[in-house]
Amino acid sequence: MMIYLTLGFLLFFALLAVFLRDTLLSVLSLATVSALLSIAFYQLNSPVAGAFELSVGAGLITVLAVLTISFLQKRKEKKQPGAALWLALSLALAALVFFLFQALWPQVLADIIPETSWGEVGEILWKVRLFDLLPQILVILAAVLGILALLRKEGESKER
Amino acid sequence: MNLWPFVFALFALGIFCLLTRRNLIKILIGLELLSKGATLALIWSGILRNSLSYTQSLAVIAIAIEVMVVAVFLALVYAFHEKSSSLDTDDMRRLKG
Repeated sequence: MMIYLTLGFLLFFALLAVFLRDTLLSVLSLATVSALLSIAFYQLNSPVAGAFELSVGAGLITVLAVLTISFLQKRKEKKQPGAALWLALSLALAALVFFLFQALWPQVLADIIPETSWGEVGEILWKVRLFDLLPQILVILAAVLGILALLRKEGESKER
Repeated sequence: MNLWPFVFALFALGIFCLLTRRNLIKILIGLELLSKGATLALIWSGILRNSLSYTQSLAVIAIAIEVMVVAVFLALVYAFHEKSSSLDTDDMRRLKG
């Protein structure tokens, strides 16, 4: 089954993210985990969650983490060109195995999984779940204020 | 088809990373693995209960909140690094009052 292959590779890259010593390579492995999870969501007939996971999990979170590392890092840990090469080779191998499985067994989706549409999910989100959606928007706003407070320089308040 | 073993493997990896690593970025990775396991569990339970649209809407909000958690965590890491020039959790003990 294609879904088992996707999740097997996901666990492999999750192991790499935990055990690689270089934090940058770990974050890139985590981005691969997010991309594979979004593929798994598409295979499970969940395109909305898949699109969110791909854009936010593999995109935004990776950009934020890589930016923070590049701000802070003086590269104290030893560089691992071998580890970077292994990561790239693992990605290429995963892509090749996916291609072969897709070519050999094109029927990937189980018939038991129900079909869903974007409109249906949006309707549930804005009509059924409006009650808890608004407090969660407030939580996000509170988090934004928290980030602004954390990143404020000490001199700024004195200047005013 | 059963995806629970993968969910629990992701949880186990995340908890292992949270408990054994001292680098703050690694701890963030552990947290991320936990939340990815939770999102996968949501989608899989939606398939089992035949309410995939509803659990997808839950997963979308979970992913949005996950981003905010990551952003706040990274801001905390940045602020801590400004104070101590370190990303080691052992150095955080100095912040105790």
